[in-house]
Amino acid sequence: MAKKVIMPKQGLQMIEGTITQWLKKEGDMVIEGEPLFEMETDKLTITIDAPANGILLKIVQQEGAVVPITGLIAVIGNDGEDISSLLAESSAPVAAPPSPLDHAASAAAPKAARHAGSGFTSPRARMRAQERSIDINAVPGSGPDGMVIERDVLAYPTQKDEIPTATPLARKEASLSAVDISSIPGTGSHGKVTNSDVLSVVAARIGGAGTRGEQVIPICSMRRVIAERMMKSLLTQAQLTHQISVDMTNASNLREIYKKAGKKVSYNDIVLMAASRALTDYPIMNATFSDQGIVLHNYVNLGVAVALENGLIVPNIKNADLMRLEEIGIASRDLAAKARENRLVPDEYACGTFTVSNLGSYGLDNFVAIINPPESGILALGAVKKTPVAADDELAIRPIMTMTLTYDHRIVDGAPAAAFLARIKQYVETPSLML
Amino acid sequence: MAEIMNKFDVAVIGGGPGGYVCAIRCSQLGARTVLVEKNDLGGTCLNRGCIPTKVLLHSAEIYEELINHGAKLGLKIPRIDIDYAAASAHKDNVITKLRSGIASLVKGSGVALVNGEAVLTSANTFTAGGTEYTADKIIIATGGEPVVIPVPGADKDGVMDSEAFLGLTKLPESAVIIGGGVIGIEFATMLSSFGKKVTVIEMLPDIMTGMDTDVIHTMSQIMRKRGVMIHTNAKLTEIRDGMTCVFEKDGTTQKAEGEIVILAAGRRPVTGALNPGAAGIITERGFIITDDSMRTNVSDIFAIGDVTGKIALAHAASAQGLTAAANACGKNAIMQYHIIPSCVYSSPEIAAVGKTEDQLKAAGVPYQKGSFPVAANGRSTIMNCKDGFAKLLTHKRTGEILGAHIVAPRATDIIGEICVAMKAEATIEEVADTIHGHPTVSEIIMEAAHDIEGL
Repeated sequence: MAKKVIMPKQGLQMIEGTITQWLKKEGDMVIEGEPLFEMETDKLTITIDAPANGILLKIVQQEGAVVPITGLIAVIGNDGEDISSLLAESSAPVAAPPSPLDHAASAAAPKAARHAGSGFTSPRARMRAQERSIDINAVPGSGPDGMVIERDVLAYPTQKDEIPTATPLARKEASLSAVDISSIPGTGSHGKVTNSDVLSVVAARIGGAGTRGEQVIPICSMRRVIAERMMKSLLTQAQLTHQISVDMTNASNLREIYKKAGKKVSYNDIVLMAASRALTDYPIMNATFSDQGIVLHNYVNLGVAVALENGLIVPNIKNADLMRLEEIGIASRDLAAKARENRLVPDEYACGTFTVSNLGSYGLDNFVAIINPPESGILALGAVKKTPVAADDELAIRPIMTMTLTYDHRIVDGAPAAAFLARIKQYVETPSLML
Repeated sequence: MAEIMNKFDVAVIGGGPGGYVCAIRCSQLGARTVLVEKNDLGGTCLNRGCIPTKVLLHSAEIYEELINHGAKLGLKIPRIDIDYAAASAHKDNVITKLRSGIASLVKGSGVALVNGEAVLTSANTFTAGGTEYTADKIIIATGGEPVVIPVPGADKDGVMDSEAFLGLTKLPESAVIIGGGVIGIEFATMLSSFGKKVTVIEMLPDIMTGMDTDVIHTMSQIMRKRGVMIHTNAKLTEIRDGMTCVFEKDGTTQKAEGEIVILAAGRRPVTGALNPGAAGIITERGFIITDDSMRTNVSDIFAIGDVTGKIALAHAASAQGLTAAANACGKNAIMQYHIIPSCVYSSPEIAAVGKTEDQLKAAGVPYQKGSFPVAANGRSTIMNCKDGFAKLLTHKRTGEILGAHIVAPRATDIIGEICVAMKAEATIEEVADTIHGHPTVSEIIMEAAHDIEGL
């Protein structure tokens, strides 16, 4: 089935194009998508691809021809196909390829128009161009010597014509809802923006509340417990925080020493040990507020917060203050594994006296934790980060960890809490004091 | 060869305004199409409904105009005789002419025409006139028929449905019309225009239930002025010889008499003989269930028109037909129901589109209304009409046109303006600011729009 090759519309303002070069001859095989001919509009030169596979049966418009958009240029089809009806259908060539003599003359006339910018414009034309915000250099002139006259400017499409149309209701809705109508793709006839197009944008802008749907997750028992305990904690305890930076250089060295000895010890383990020792130094941090009085525990059951898939649990290392560093490490890892595998027994997460929570692996500089009732303090650890510090009045890069202590001011005042935190820092920075 | 001849891309069952429009479109879209019609092309609308009613109404209208206003207009006609047989013959001529027009459209578009009653045998096959046909897609457009009212005496001579009434060749001197819907009111208009005594018995609290209450109120008054007796909240219990209709109203038993009784109390879908079950089509009380694309539950089967029970208007059926044709031929079309005008050929006419005021109130939509009386319209005065109004309903926030309700001469012709305004999403300003010709009836729309703007 033969296919017509027509002058394509390449741009809103194009009404005709000039064929500048045929890239294929009559009788050549053409493949869909490969370059077929080159054409020029008053704006640019473009290569047009073949719209179908087949033989270029007939070139209707030769090089130099000026063809209006959708005008027939050529026919592609099968060898020997009868295309007489296709050729008869289309209108006669608009401008026959000019003879050599004509070519020079006709080339001269358009040139003058194209170079109207060289100054040939009438005062009225310049006034109209300014009114309509048109660049007069782009307007083709039809006056003497290619002069741009008033009617040329009036006939030239303005920027306004290129703004897509919208229905009156759509415009009203857009202005009431402060939506930029020119940015909305229109689904109405001829690309008109309709009321529903505007309403869709408004709905999407509201964040699609309700339009993107919700998902309801039932509250499981762990979530319920966490919710209740966290609220109870905040509502019953007078919580505030102290923060301190700790130089982990010596802790780092300690890790290396243990590693060489075949024992695994983490920063967290070192802090756990430091905390457990500091708690024995400052028993008020290892206490519980009760109606009978402040209960000081003579043992440290140190809680280690473990993040689970959909929750959080805090198993505790019983009598952590009596453990050696590597024992703390073993116990900590063991409890964490059990927690993740859901193998903890209630005894393992009951009766804690203080908690340490570490979110350093997430890169947090620091954070504030909520006390785990009925405890009276919680230590939150950030990441160990190489930080420029002043050391002996000189600039140095040291591994620094920020620790944040949340404490219950009902039983611990600011000074003892600060002293406690400072002691932990001391133990971590000078581990030999606790080992 | 016979198998190939009886195999089609699309089969349309029913040649009324839904079916024949659909079949022509299918053929235009390149489908090998067959249209199966058991009686005459044009369906109820052309043969037994809209067209014959309007032809007779035209005769009645001219008669009434001459009788009531002839002398005043300077037309001295000593006596006007009604030759109803001639009017009826004229009606038949109009129908025949329009029917042959449809036939040539159908044939001219390449649709194969089969005369017979289709009975489905599977989702892709049916028989008609003793031959079996196969079609990739089937579009059911079998239409509707008058409901038979199950009261004692409904089968007596002198009791007829709307279709039989339109076939009369002698005008009755009086009539009792059972049903005050659109059909009943049009018949009441026609008979009262010819000077005959009419009683309307309506079961519901209002005539023309579903129309805007101002329209119902105004038309009820107009009918009473014309001498039509209307009983609402009245339930027919028996029809006796004479003819006497016995009905219950306000707890009492009353009677109405007329030479004939016309049953115009509803229509039901025509699906009995079709056997939709053979194709697995889901129906509800005989209506075929369809979605926005006019598809039934069976993927290759569509249904359009009165048989779907969506909106029993010929132009709605045609629009559904175009939608179904597009979808049956591989395109994607959705039927929209929000801009379909309703037209009643009463005197004066009624036309409405969009929502009624009660519907807007029930939905809690903040609306504004504006109206203008026909009595203040010059053209209407020239045509000796002072009854009626135009009422427009708009959205308070945007001025969107939500509904229009008109009781006026030529209402059915001027409603188109509002339909286009709604389709083009014009707001009330556009309607108010449009220059309307003077003197025309259409000015009442412009004035109603001004009323909304407070001008």
